[in-house]
Formats: sequence, C-alpha cells, structure tokens
Amino acid sequence: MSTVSDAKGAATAAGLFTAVKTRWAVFGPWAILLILIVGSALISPAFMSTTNLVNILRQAAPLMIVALGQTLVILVGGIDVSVGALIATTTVIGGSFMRDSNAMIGPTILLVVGVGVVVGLVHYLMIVRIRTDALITTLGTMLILSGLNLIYTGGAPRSNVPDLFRKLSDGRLLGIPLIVVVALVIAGVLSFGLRRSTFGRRIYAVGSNRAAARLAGIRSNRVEGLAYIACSVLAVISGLALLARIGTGDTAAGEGMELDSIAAVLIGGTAFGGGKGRVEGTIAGVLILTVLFNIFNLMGVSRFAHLIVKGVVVIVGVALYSTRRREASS
Amino acid sequence: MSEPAQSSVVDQQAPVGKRAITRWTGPGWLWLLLLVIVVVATLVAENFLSSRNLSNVLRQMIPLGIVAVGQTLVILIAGVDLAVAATISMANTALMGIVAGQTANVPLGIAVALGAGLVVGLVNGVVINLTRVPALIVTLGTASIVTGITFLYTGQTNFGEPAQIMNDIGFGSIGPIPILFFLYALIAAVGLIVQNRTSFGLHLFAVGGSEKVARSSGIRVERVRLVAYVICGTLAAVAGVAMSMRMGAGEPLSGIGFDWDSIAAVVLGGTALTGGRGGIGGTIGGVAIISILNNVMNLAGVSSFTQIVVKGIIVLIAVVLAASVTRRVAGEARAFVTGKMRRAAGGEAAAG
Repeated sequence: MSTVSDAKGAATAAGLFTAVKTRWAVFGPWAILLILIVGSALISPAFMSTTNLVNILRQAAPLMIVALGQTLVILVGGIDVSVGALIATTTVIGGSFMRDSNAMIGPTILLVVGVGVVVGLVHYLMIVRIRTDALITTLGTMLILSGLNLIYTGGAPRSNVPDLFRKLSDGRLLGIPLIVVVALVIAGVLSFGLRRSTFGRRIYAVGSNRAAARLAGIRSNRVEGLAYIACSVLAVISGLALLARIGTGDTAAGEGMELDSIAAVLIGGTAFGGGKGRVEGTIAGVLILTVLFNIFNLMGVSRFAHLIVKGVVVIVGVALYSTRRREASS
Repeated sequence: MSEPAQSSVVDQQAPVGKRAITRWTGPGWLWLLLLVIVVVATLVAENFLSSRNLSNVLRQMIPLGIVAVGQTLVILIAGVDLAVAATISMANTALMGIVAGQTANVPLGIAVALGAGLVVGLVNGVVINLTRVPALIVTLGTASIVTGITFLYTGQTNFGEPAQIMNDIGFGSIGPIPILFFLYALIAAVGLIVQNRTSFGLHLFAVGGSEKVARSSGIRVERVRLVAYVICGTLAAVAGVAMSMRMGAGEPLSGIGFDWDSIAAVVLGGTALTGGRGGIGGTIGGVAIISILNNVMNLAGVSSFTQIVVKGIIVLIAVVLAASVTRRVAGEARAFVTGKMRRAAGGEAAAG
C-alpha cells in the first residue's frame, strides 16, 4: 500500500519537475530578465524612472525587429549575418533619398523594402535552391552590402531625414514611442502567426526535419525562402526604426546588430539548427541585452568592460539553455 | 562471382589514390583557379610578376596563412573560431606593450602574447566541451571578451613600441623571400604532416565526419576538440606576433577582419563547414588566391571599398563551388552504395 503511494508520490514529483522544466523553457528568459530588472533597480535608483524605462524600450526596438526576423531564419535551421550591413544600407539610402522632404518618405520606404526583398531573394536562390552554406553565403552578401555602402557614401554620413520621419521615434502613442509600438505589433503578428497559422506550423516542421516535412507535402523551399525574405525585410524595417531614432544614415549603423540579434534569439531559447523556439523568448533576449547595456551606462561602467560582460552573458545565457536541452534529451 | 568483386576493388581504389594526393594539395580545381588568377593578374598588372611585387604577395600571405591553418583544424571538426581576430589584436598589443622598444623584452613579450592566445583557445575548447553551446556563439562571446580586455589594456589607442630587432626580422628577406614567410611555410608543412600522418589528424576527420561514430570508436572527442581550439588560438597569436614585426606600434584593432577572411580562405580551399572533409592543403591555395587578388586590386588601383565588394563576390562563388562539390560527393556515395547493392543482388542471383 505504502509502496504504491510512494510510487504515486514519486510520479507526481517527477511530473511536477517535468512541468517546471517545460515551463522553465518558456519562462526562463523572462525570469532572467526579471532578476536583471530587480537587480538594476536596487543598484541604480534612476533605472526605474519612466524616462529611463521608455528609453530602454526605444533602444530595444530596432534590435527587437531584426531579432524577430533572425528568429524565423534560425527556426528553419539557417542563420543570417548580413542583417547588420542591410540595416546600414537602409539608413544610408534613407538618409540620402528622403532629401528633407516629407513627400519622399513613402517612395524611399518602398525602395528600401524592395532592396530588402532582393537581398532575401538572393539568399533564397543560393541557400535554399543551390543549398550553399547559410553562414558563408550571408557573410558574402554582408561584405557586398558594406562595400556598396562605402562606395556610395564615400564613408561620409547622410542626414537628410525630414522631421516627420523622425516622429517615428519621438512621437508617442499612449506614452509609448511609435517605433516601440511598431516593434510590438510585428512581434504580436509573428507570435500569433507561428502559433496559430499553417505557415507557422510549416516553419517548425521544416526546421525540425526538412525531409519529413517534404514527405508530408510541405513545400519546404518556399517556407525557407519566405523566412529569409521576411528576415531581410524586417532588417530593413529595423534600419528605418534606427534611422528615425538617430536621424543619420551611416555605414557604421547596425554594426554588431547581426551578432546581437543572433545572441538575443539564442538567449531567448530558440535552438540553433531549427525547429524549436518562440518569438516571446527572443523579445526577452533582446530586453536582457538592452537592460544590461542600460544599467552599465547608468553605472558609468567603461564601454570596454561592456564588451567583456556582453561576451560572458552571451555564453552563459546560451549555456543555460543548452544544458537544459541536454537534460531533456537524456 | 569473382568478376564483380574485382571491379568493386578497382572502384574503391581509384578515388582512394586520388584522395591520397588531394589530402596534401587540396582539390585540383583550386590550383587551376589560382593559375587562371595568376595569368589574369599578369595581363592586368604588368609589374605583377616583378620579384619585388611577388615578395610583397608572399609577405601579405603570412598572417592570414598562419591563422587560416589553425582555422582549418577547427572547421575540420565542424567548429569555427570567430575569436581569432580579437586574439591577433591582443597578441599584437601585448607584445608591443611589453617590449616597449627594448630588445631584451622581446622573448618575454612573445611568450606572453603566445600564452594569451593559448589561453583563449583553451577557454574556447573547455567552454564548448562543457556547455555544448554552438562554437559560433562561444567564440563570438570570447571575441567580445578579448576585445574588451585589449581595449581596457590599451585605452583603445596605439600602444607600445617594437624593438629594432623585430623590424629587422619583419622587413628582412632571404633573397626575394621574406624571412617570416619561412615561418608560415614551416607551420603549414607541420600542419600538413600532423593532418595526414598522425593519429590526431585522423581523429580530426573522424570527429568532423561523425562525432557519434568517432566516440564509439574510442576517440576522445573532447580532447581532440580542446587541442584543435588551443592550436587555433595559439596560431592566431603567432599571426599577431608575426604582424607586429612590421608595425611601428601595437594597434588594438590590428586583427580586424581576420576572422571572416580566414574562414573564407578555408572554405575557398574546399574544406566543408560541416566538418570532416578538406584540409590544410586547400587552405594554402585559398590563402594564396585571396592574397593575390588583394595585391592585383591594389596594383590596378581598385579602391578599398570596391575590394570589399569583390571579396564578397568571391565568397559567394566559393560557397556555390563548395555546394556543388558536396552534391557531387553525395551523388558519388549514393552511386557507390546502389552499385554495391546491385552487385550484391547480382551475386546472390548467380549463387542461387
């Protein structure tokens, strides 16, 4: 009798443990973020001020938008390191073509989105059709884009951005900067789409096993191609958000965003190699990185030390997830 | 019965014989490509073949070549090392800072620089082994850490001063060949021998081909991986030291670009990023192609901005070539297996 109840107890305990572990995969990044926020609030009283919190969100918006695209590509088993250069291209084209005129805002946006679609199509042709290595292919497009940026600008920044466009960053909706609203809307659409739409299910299917997905009648090439195109277009939107915030088109804008976006995605629990992960985790990953930079600035830590801590956070953040996965699989 | 058996032996021997050569030289198409580039270079820039320019080309190969040999070992086990650029900068500034113009400090400076590279490699290897985090992310993290340490150390300005003897070595040459080129040649030769003639070399291919199979064959995968990263980190530091010999001060960003350039050279040389295929022989060719192209574009007065675009196009071409090679190998393997099955079926039918 007692052995039965013992076994039952053990089973419940194990069930509880599994439940916590599964939830942990979802809430882990948010738990880390919460600890970080509480710690920051204790360290620096300025941290919890409304101005600072709004500032954090405004800083996080461009990285969030590009990291959402990166999430899609990593979910289908790829990677895109060209996004940083594409962001720079966007700010350069935007800063030059708007010519301080409100009438040029619309056409310029269409133009840069077109550039994003073309870059995404090149990735589709090479990575999906020819089956080249994603890392090296996007490295190649990154080099080409940065070279073209430098040739076009000669290295000089362009800042012909009309005030109306900068309203994207300065303007508020219910006290929230517009670019943050844009980022949250994109996140909401993607989150819902990945959970509820057939396309979302196909992304997970292709990412976890391309051959099986194809046998199940999914056109895997199309799904992968759309992920790459979406990633490039989101990088362009991220570039527009960045341009609205800084007001200057610069070849160095977006520097490091490719690696920051990948780090945010992985810290958020999306698996390298595809098939597992969620948009919400990526948002937490982005906020973790941004809060970290913010608290360093508030504390006056040298930006060289930033680099060191960022490296540690990236490794530890991803390691927490990796060991979790190993436990789950064994 | 005996006839199909014979033919299968012949089938197996042909590629093995070919592979015995390409293990040392890399793929044949690579050297053909190099030849074409040399011919075009000679036509485009008349002074390309002058002995002064050729020794320049050799000189440009030295740091990239040394890093790329290390990068090859890491990529062979399906890893990657993005920390090499930061390690080069760190070795460069550490050496210059310690030497500070004094010849007597040179040995200590070199020892510290190489030690620092070794430690970076050690950290990479240990962290990857312990955490199973993808190598890309771990080395990205250490790259950030190493850059931060270098900036803290130098204050992000040019730093330290070389001793006279360093510049004597760096600018000196034996005949038309720069002295330090012999260092690169030595490292490449030792690398080739280690890759092809030692059990460690064999283990690299085994781990890269299939970690699971390697482990069940009794190979200590963790140890192989650790050694590969330690060698890669140390060689990056060697490249940083070699580069310092031609500089007037330590620069905290001196290694910038060497991470992607070395990976491009390795991939161009026919080594698969998925591991287990390729080798140092091809990397030597890849380094030569990249160096010659840079040189020719400089001679032809191509702007450094355009050179970046050209480099990107080369990377894309290389990756397409690599993809088609992968497909061909896969096709050959499939043909081999189906052929064998057909022969086996035929043999059974004959026996029955």
